[in-house]
Amino acid sequence: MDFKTQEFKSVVAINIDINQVKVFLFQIVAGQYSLIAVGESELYFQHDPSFIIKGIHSALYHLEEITNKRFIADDKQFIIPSRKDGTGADQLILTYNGGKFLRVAIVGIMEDSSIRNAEQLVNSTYSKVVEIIGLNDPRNQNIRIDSIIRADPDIILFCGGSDQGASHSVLQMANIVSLVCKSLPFEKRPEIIYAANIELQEKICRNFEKIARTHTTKNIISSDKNEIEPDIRDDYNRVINEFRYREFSGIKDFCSFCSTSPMPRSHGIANMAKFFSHIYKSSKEVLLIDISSDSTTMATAKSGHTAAKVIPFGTDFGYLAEMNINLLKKWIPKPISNDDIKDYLFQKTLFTNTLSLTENAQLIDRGLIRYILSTALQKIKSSQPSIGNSFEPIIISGDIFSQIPDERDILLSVLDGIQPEGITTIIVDKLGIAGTLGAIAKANPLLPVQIIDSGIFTNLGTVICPVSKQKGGTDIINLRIDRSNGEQDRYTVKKGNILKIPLELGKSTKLDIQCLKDTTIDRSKKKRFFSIEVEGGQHGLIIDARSRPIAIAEDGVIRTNQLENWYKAIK
Amino acid sequence: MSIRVSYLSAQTKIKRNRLLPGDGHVKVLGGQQVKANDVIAEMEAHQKHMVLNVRDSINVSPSEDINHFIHRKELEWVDKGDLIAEKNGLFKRVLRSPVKGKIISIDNGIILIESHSPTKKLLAGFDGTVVEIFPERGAAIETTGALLQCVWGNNYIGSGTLLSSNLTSQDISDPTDFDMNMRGAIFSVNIINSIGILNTINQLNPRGLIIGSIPAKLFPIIRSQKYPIVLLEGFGNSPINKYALDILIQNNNQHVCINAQSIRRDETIRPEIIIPSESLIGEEIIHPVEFAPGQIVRIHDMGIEPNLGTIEKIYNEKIKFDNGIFANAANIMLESSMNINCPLSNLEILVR
Repeated sequence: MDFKTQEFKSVVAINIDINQVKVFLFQIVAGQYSLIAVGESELYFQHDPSFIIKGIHSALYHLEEITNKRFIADDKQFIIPSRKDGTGADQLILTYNGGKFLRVAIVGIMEDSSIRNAEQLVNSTYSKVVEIIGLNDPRNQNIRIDSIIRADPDIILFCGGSDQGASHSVLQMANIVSLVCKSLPFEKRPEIIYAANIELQEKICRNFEKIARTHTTKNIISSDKNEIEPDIRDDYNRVINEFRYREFSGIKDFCSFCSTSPMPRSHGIANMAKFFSHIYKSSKEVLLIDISSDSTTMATAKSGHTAAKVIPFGTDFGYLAEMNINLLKKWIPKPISNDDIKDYLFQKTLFTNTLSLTENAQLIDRGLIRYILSTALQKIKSSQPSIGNSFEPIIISGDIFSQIPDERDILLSVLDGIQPEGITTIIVDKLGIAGTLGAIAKANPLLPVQIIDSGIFTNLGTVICPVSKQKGGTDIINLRIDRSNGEQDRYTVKKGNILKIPLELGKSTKLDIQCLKDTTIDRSKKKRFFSIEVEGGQHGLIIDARSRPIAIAEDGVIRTNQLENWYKAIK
Repeated sequence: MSIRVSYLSAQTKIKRNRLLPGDGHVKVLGGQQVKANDVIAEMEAHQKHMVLNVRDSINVSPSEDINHFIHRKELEWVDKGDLIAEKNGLFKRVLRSPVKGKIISIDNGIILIESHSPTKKLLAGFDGTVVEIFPERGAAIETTGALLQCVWGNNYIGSGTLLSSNLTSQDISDPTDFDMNMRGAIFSVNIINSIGILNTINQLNPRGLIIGSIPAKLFPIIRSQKYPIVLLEGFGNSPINKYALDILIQNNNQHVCINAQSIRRDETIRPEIIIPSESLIGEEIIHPVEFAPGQIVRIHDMGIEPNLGTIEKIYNEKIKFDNGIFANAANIMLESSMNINCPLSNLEILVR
């Protein structure tokens, strides 16, 4: 396939979310791919197992209304490839987000290699680890078997043993899997994914196949500790997809028209993070966060290596179990009681996907976004301790951001939730298209590049976050900006303040920075004087000189003043 | 477009499939009359497993055929102490079952036994007639009467006499609303906002509790009660909506069934209140497939009380709200005769 000739004139990409189906239409216009239109359909779970395929059709019909083009034939089949009369599309891509997290039991050998890699694979998409049994598990065999059965897994991920390694341990663990499966009625047996010693694969899988549905992939132990091999990820996705096909009727037939196997949006997000790491070529990690109704995906990437983690809470679900209300409340610049906040959050879990139209609801939602960002970052850091606090850029994605009309609110949410250090660029994807573009890249590498070049993501601005031991109110940074008209502007930044400096949008501007006593911008370099070129975003240049972690007053009145002052500084 | 719907009907035909999560035994027959707490099916709950290594236990050498020493077959039931395997010789060695259970597998001298355990019971959920049997899974039960779908339940089932005469008096219940003559009833209250009221109700040995709303801070204690509790409005301080209120008041002192099953997002099972009637008149409710003028709706997250209205019109295109958000919307006539625009995503159709 020669992508330079842009063989695929039109591409339709569908994303299924827990509350909504979105359809994106891309076409070549003036030699470049452009986003032409977006169709939507709401989704509420119903007894009818075909409600998802109906939601897809509904969103496609909406797209047809907007574009005056047909995509669905009279027999309800998707029209692919496109026809001479303009109907249909040349490629169809499908991503999905959230839904029931599949339960996975990991049976492996060593905790620090195969089992760790298996955990990373499971947590990179909409599945969760419900039990881990390793060779060194101190529990006796009976308890191990009971533990797996009690965990009620949908899948057993069998991993471990290097390809030329000893076979005894692998066979021993395989025996546990066999005993688990044999103790359950056939229709209740978990499916098995074999990701272990290749030399034993045939022997062990021959036995597995007699007792349960078995899939195979490469030995997961060969994966880099920071990144799972794409082939293993794809094989795992295929197994997950089979579960979805069985759960929702009509989907499998529809997906037979797809140009690639349906992909979980989290993997599309990971692909996009990797893509950005090639663009930015920074020594810092790219951080890409996607927030949806029932999950949050965080992906980091550097020099083409990427890692992703899905955390099972989002804006409507999952946060109640472990939420500390005070961590959310501290971001609300109005005296709303803990009881009112809890009532609102609990009610949200009953009636999801509603738009917040009261002032209190919007303020609580802002606090919730900060809470989700900071909690998700903590969780990914706990599994990847090498992640620091400096990123370039930070990209945030999700429909929730399309419900915040003022971009400065979004900018401040990211600064409050992530609390980055150093110099970074903050980019927002209001359409929630990042995961979709990441999925399209596999079948059409040119399209995401051209769509991103077209400015579909919004560069909110460059942010400089100095770290200083000085007391609040002390001068910590001097700045000099050389304007394009030859003038120079000078600024002094005090510890604890936020300063917004207007810059020309899209233009590069030279900045001279002097870090005063006990202040640094780049911890690794510790330079006091340096110059950089920064590009002006929608909201110029922001200096966030607040402490790390950001200190918020306990007293309600002082806190309200603090939050309002920071908000005014961004405005 | 898929939409959010709740049923609040005074008289309708109600049919529900009651199914075990796995294979079990169905205990009822087609045409049988059942009560809410009758067991209609049961299955074995989680079993414990024992792994026995015959070769090690009775000292059989690797060169000997282990099957020669085993006296049992797969799927055979054994009692605790029953002989499993033995090896004769100068010193006889025996292996006996450590538990009562079923032999699941015998494989190269490794025996897996599943021990007998308590059963998981499936209750009918409401009074009705068994109209269909699903072999090994459960049954469909049908009745006619009033149906009120709730938004939250604590996963218990019960039935009893409904007490709803207090509902007209005030929104927030007071302990003095209840007295000892009410023992053993199913209580209905608009709002419970203190533990004191719950404690008073608990002293009357309730068979169930129907509440409009509770503050979220009481959720842990409400959830821990051992009788069926349902919420009709949710969390906060909303009294029971007037349509549900009318039905409850009309059925004061009537027999009511509560199936407070938890809502599961992937199965659309709802907690429900069913008040069976002797009248056989009742048609199945038709599920609306789209928003339309004339529909009665409950409005969420707009700070409006009471949050009920009627759809006047659906806008063809997205409209802009005061906070700058664009959304698909409808114009709603509230009960106060005021008109407001409301996002469709914030509406829930109430079917009566």
